[in-house]
Amino acid sequence: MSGSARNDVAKLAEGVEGTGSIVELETSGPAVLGSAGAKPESMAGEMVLFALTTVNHSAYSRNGVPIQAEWGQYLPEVPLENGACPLMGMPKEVLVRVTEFVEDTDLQTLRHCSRLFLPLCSDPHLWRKHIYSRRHPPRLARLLHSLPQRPTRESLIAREILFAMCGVAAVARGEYIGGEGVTRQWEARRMLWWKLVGRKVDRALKRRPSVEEMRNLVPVEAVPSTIVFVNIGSSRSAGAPGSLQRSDSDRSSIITLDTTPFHDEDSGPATDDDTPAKPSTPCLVCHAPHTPPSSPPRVTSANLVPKIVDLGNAMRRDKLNRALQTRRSWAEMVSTESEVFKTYAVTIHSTPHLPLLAVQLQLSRNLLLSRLRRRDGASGPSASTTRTAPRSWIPRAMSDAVQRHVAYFEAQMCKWAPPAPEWEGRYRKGGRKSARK
Amino acid sequence: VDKEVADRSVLLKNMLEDVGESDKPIPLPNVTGKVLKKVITYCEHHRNDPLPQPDDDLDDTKRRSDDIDDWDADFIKVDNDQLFELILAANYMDIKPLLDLGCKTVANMIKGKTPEQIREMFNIENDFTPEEEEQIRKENEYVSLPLDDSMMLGGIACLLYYSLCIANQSGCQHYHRWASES
Repeated sequence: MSGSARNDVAKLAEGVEGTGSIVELETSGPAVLGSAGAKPESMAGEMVLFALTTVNHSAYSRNGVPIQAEWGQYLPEVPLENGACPLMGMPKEVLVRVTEFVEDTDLQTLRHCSRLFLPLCSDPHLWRKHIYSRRHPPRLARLLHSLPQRPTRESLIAREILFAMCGVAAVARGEYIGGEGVTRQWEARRMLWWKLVGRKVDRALKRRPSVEEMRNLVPVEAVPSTIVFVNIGSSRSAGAPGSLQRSDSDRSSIITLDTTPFHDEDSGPATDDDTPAKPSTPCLVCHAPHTPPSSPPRVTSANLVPKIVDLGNAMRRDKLNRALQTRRSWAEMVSTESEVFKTYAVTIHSTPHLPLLAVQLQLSRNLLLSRLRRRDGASGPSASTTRTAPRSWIPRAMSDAVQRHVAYFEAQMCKWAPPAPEWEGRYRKGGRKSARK
Repeated sequence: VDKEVADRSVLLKNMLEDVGESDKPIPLPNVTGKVLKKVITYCEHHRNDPLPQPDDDLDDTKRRSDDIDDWDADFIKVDNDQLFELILAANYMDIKPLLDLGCKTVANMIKGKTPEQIREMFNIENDFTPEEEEQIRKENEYVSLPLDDSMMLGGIACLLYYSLCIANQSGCQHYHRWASES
């Protein structure tokens, strides 16, 4: 530190009324921390920081000029006093910063502590930007932001719609959203769910067929080194390579299978080093001789496909029947299986509520009876109206003989409301005779 | 104090950039010596951390109060007065990580407390009038029921409501008789 800087430090330390500490900031050199009363001898830095130990900022002055006027933008709004609440003396931006880290239930609690916190914790911007975004995934949070008409929790509670677990006692028990108990319960449910999914996947993996079992079910076209010829006509010569002749005994066999591979014309005829002694057959394309593979691929005839499908269906039915015959009741399973299954069964499969079902059945019966009664009532369509209504469309839809039958049966079924006179006349023209016959 | 440590404070960083290579002292009138020592300790420990970017304020996913590492948790174990002085100093010197650490600590102190406990902990005076307190008490009169019972009661209430609606729409004589009598 130069001599002028040292003088400045000394002037500043002398000018400021009150005790303080000096932190010397060096760009290259050791840090020096001292007090204003005992100035360090080896002040060799370029920047000096003053730290005053008194908290009454309004009392500071230097050479008659109050410090607050010079650095007023950095001073807190409310000066701290001994015995006062330190939280209440914080600047508002700091309090807002604190509320951004508080959970929503704790915000509800905090807003009832003081008048200062009531507007701070009820700030809609705070709730929209931080609480919803923290609680919900981004897309849902954006959706919630875009719905200003969405009722608030207070309005729902005022209308006695929301009965949340937000009471003081519930908060004390940790039964609020994000609380310890609720979090543990949620984690246990997730763990149980993942365990059940893991079991299901393990079982499915054990049950899956092997590659060898699947080989017979692979379509012929997907098997390499095989060609399928559909020998619909008899144009191919008998005994030609790459074809199977139609069997006289089996007339349905029209698909011919061949295991002869195509050759790459540039690379020449294919050779198999393992079976050099086997007789060679010409290629289908270039007619060059080639050696058949040592183990011909297994192929499935198209004639067998319906049989395979029928067999698969029969096996499934048989398996289902066996499973139904050997199934156990819920009570048996719950009593014999592990605790995990018990919890799962109790959680997922709850027994139906019989009184509720009885009430529902009774309501359905009453509804049906009331509708039946309304058929003859003054408010709804009467039975006669219902019967005479089809007259407009029945002649277009039915023949005359059928109409007579319909009229007869309607007259028999609805004795209390005889049909209209024109129907009566049409019915007497011979409908009764035909009906009696 | 190294310049790298001082650069953790945006206030000091800006001042140093404005002043340049000057030997003028920088006064910090709002920070006591004891608190400044703590602040320097924090800055020295986090001297190699990446500086917070201005866009970090837009990231809402970081507003969690339970992601405090062990050293910070030990560092912030101070009494309430010193904690709030640290927060004020961090706010004044614009050290965002330290400010967030203090705010998270205050949020954790508030977590799960009742209004009375919060008032007692922070020495907050209850400045609500009795009428306001009564209003707040009414707002707090929530019904806390176990989940299964509340769901069952809600289902029964919905069932009864729908049955009444159906009876009204279908012209049920029993319903109309009951409605006229009641």
